Amino acid sequence: MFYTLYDFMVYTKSLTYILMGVTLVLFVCFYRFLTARDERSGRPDNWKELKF
Amino acid sequence: MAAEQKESVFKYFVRQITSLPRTPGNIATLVIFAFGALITIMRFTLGIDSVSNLDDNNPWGIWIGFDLMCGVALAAGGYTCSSACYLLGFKRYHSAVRPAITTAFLGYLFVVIALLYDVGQPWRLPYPLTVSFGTTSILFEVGLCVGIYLSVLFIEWSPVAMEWLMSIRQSEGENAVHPKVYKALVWLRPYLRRIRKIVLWMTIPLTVMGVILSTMHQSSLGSLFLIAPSKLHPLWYSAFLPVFFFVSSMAAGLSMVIFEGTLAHKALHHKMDETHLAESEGVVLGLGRACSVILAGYFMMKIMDIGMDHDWHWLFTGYGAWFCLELFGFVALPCMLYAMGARERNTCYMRWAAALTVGGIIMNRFNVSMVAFNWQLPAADRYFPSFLEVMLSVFIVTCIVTAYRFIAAKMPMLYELKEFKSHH
Repeated sequence: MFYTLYDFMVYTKSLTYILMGVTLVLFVCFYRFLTARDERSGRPDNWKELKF
Repeated sequence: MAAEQKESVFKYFVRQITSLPRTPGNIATLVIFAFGALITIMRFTLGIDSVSNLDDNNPWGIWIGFDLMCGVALAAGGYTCSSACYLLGFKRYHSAVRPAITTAFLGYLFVVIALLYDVGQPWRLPYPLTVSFGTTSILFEVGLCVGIYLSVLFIEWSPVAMEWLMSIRQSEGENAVHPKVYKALVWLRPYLRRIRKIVLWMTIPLTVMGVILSTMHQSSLGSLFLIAPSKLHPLWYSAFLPVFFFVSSMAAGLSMVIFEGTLAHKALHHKMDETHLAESEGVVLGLGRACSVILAGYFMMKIMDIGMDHDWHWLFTGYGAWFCLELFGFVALPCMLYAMGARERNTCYMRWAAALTVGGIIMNRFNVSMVAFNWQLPAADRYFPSFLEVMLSVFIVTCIVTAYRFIAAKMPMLYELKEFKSHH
């Protein structure tokens, strides 16, 4: 229960800061998941040379 | 030939239309067009009440929620693709630009046409820009941007039509162009050549304008709902609605290019030249990868927004389940499918993800404008579209598909004409 707007803001803002921190870590993980195989294979960024 | 020369230009065009093959698709299109004509007459003679379930509680229905909101979001492929190709320098997406611009142009054109049905009095369409400036209204900004952007898209798209008109040659038999029409085309040719050169020279400024205008009105469509915090369900209402609408429009645009490309690949494979066929896989993989990053960002922003507004308890209600389906089924799932497709270089994942994202954007716009809007009203006062409203939306979509098919069949959209190849 929040008695003042200040209470509400302190609660939601602190939660959002934690969420933002988690988001940043998750985003790095997601980006590594997305690009890991490119880096490993060292494939050029040229679609014409790719075999599908 | 002598008989054709006696034929009037009007009769020539009628003959061209009536000589179309009577396939099931063409017959269905004809039936929908007949329905559309009937609804148009009813709407503009008997009033909006005769064809819709709109009332004072629900002044915006499916024509705004689907035709306008979804139409504008799904037409975002135009600015995303052209800016990727011309501003960011990803030339490998060049083959996707023309289909994307065509889809965007048709999307916006029919958004404006659909809006005429909702607003009524079409002759008053230019009033906000000429007679009564509503500079304090978000709708004014939306109208201004959509009007200018439609003009920009028409100019960007016009080389396709000009190249087609310049490439028409006289032939014998039933396919012969009417002599008067052909004479006019020959007369027009040097002017078209000059105009086309100017338009191609303006490509970069037009692309920049497209990005600026899209950024403004895509977000403004979300801003329209900022005025109604008590009417929109807390899970969908947010101070960041403009940001959500803009970010989701980028994902919608890119997904629509993939989705539409997949359909074009199946139905119009024979119309594509070698460049289009060779680049299509790369376009899907590249755009899909970008889309996965955008969807990941969008998903995280939505989660943070729930935290900001302290809406967690709403997730355990019926609306919460619907919200979770939208967020996890149509944002997180396609995001992961795109990412897996990019990792595995699997275009099948990408195409499914594109279909899910397009469905998700339609769902989101429906939710914001209809499902979660006026959520506190009793069921009897809630809005549900009438049969004729739905049929009009079907008519608008059929018009877009028919126009797209005509352009793809006749104009150099999925291929490049030899005489203009070096100028693109």
